[in-house]
Amino acid sequence: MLPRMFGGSDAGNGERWLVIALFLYVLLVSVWPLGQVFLTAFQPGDDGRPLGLMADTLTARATGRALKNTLVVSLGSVAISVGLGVALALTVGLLRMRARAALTFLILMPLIIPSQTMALSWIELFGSNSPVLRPLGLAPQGANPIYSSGGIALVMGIEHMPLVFIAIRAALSGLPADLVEAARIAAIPYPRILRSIILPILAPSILAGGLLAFTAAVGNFGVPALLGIPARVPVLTTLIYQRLNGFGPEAAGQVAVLAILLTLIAVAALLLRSLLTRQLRMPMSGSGRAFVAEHAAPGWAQVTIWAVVLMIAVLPLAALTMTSFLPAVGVAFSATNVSLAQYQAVLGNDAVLRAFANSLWLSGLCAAICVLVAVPYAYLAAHRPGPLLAAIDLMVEAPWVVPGTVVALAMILAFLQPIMGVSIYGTAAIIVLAYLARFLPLVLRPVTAAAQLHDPAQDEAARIIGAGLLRRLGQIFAPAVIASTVGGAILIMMTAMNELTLSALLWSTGNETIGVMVFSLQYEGNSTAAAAVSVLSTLLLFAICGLAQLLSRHLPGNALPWQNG
Amino acid sequence: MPHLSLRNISKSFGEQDVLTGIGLELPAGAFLALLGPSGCGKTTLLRLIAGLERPSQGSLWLDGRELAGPSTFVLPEARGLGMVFQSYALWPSMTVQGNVEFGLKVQGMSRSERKARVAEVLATVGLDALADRRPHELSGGQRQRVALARSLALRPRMILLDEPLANLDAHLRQSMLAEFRRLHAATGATFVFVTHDQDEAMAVASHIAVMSQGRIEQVGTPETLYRRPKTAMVARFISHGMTLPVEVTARDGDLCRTLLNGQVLGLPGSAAEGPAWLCLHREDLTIAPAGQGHIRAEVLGQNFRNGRYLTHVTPQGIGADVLSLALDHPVAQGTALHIRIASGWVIARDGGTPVASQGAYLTERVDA
Ligand SMILES: Nc1ncnc2c1ncn2[C@@H]1O[C@H](COP(=O)(O)OP(=O)(O)OP(=O)(O)O)[C@@H](O)[C@H]1O
Ligand SMILES: [Mg+2]
Repeated sequence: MLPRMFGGSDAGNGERWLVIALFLYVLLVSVWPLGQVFLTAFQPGDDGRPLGLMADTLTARATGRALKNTLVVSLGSVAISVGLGVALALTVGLLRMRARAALTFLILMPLIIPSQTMALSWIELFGSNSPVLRPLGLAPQGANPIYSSGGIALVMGIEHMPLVFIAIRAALSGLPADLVEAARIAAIPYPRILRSIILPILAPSILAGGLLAFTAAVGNFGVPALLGIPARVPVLTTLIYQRLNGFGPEAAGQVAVLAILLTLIAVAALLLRSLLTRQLRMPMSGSGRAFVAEHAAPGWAQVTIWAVVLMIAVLPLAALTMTSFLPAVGVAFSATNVSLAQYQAVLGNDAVLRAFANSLWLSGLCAAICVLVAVPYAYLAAHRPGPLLAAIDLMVEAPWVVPGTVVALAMILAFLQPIMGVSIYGTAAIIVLAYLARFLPLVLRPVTAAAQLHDPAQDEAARIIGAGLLRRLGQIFAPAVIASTVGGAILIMMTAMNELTLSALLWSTGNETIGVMVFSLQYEGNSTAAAAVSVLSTLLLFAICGLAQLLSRHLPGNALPWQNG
Repeated sequence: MPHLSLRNISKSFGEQDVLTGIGLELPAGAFLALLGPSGCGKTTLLRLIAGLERPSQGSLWLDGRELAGPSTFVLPEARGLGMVFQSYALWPSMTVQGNVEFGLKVQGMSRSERKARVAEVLATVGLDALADRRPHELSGGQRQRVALARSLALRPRMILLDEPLANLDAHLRQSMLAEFRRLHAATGATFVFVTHDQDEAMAVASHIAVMSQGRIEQVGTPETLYRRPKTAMVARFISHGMTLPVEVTARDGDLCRTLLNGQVLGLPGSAAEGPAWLCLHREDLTIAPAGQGHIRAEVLGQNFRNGRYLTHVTPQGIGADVLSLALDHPVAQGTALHIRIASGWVIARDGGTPVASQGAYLTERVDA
């Protein structure tokens, strides 16, 4: 019998083997590759000095510049995320207005749209040929102002604003109604209630949301890649990309040091966030009743909020869509020259079609494997917790917490050399591995949460009648967590299908993804084709959502991520 | 050879000792009730027998095979038992038929045999008409029957039931108890039934193990527990028993010369000389004419129960707070009564050693 550390005291051998298998899987897919980044970064320098590589890289001018840009751009974007997020959340949360659900959906949209699509949309919106601004006579003359530090900060700020918005909405929904009522009875005017009562309660959530937005900004690749590379504003993620692209794996050492730097910044922000949430959490002592908005929003507020939301969520996408209907790059948009030429071109292009096929099967395979890992894991976590499982729990989170660029680099470092004669570098397999490491938490979290609600007696009842582990997993446990499993799998599909960060570093000819295709078309200057591919990929995304919606009718509970409020 | 044998079993969860020194032997075909107040470890003991928990100490044998011991542990999958959970634990993704059939599938029984067995079991519990329903489309009593059918389908040697009636209303409870008795007789399986309701235990069990704070206080037939409780806890727990502090002055054959309220009574019991408890039931108390009887008491109140007046009284001068007895007529509050003790059972009070004697009731071994 295997030692008890592999599972609870009444666990059978099957359970123990399963824990060991999961442990080895996580070791191979997450821990070992990420460990390579550290090992590489701590190598001696060319002259053999201990930690020489680190010292050399950290003192290099390029590193300093990228670090400074990263911090400036990220802090700028956080200011925008927090400003917008607070204003929108307070307006939507504290005032009564029509079509609130639609408004909320539009506010959350920047989170669903992939980075590269967002960046492309803003490029088209602010171009001198902008199909939206030019007819209004507002298009900027000369250089596109979005290609700048300010532009990167703006687009990232808007992309990550929903993180702040969600944090504040969650805090507002827990705001006890009687706190506000007590202030009103004391005849305190509304602005004063907001400033002195509500805002202090929301402060920890605003901070937490802001730190989350900061981590996201530091690790963002799509926006700085499309806006910063042409503008010569390198940040850490794009510097890593350019070094690896320019010098190949020889640059791995230096790049690993950059990756550690990037990781440190991102993880420090997250640690600070969890510290703050624990320290600043305010014990609420109100009646259980939550605050409900009853004050109707004044007309000007409603007009303003819709204008802002249209500006950040609708106009850029409109510009992108209109660009995709242009006959050629550089042509101004007008009703007479709308054409499907770009769509004909991209749909007739084998490389584009291959990219769509690749992204579909890569994300589908990743979702399927993650489900096969997450369901047994969740089962064990709920019914047979043990020390090894707790260790796995910590390890699976790592590739999701560190920036995607670091995960991609880790895969390169780990799998550059053939392992036991098999080389996966330069094949689709390395992309699959990176996806598996990074996206596992997306299905693991919801399934584990659902598993906690599963009555252990149902499993015990099956044991008593003699059902073995696999049968219990497949026929008793899996049906109980099917809804959250499907929800998590769809979330993985949606995220992986449109990601750029990982595949930008890992793709090879024949193994391009949609993100890589958009990026290279834009890089080649074919912005109309890039727009068409982006629009198609966004449509595909919505199609998957729709399909999931149809499918979810046959599932119990709220299966889909967007159904849980 | 006993069928089920627990030898000096202990179980702790971390620091907390939940079961200590449990010893118990049971013949095949018995209907054992594990009876005790909430939190005394009944469920834990049942789960140990099922294999859902592993004993910290001691061993467990079934039909001569060691199921759990210092170096052995047979997983619940391999014990071949049946179990009915308090929450029923029906599998929501399967129909009634599916729930009952699952165990047979696991055993690899052929399709036609399975169908026949499921039909037979569902007929036994009266659910044939509901075979295609899902668990959430059933009433509490119907779910209970499905859970029972599911454990009967495999024809186990032993069926474990954890408070199976706790979620049912009083009427349904009575009919399910009758059902359990019938199924016990029909299947010949050993039943182990957890309950904290002594009426339930008395109604169905051939043997009762009374538990308290992780120990077995006493095992015996319902009659033994009623007539010859071993501890004050058992005496009070069974059939609304009462205990009076008395003094045994001498033993006189099987009788104890018992000093109560200045009078000496000869009563059966296990106590040696010294402080003792006199264990009584309502039926042991009757009204005596004025000036006679053993205890004087004042009426506190009455409720009408089962055709008689259950009368609560405060006795005087004997160090007990309330006694209850059944009367045929109403009595005003505050009336003075003279009460006669017709019979009883005397046991040693704390520290006193019981007289090792005759009856099988003094060992925890129970013979059929
Ligand atoms: N898994 C566990 N971990 C820690 N303590 C436990 C565990 N299971 C039970 N206990 C403790 O063991 C004691 C006995 O619990 P058990 O469930 O066996 O009582 P019970 O007699 O069945 O009570 P009830 O009549 O309320 O069901 C309780 O104090 C309980 O808190
Ligand atoms: Mg219990």
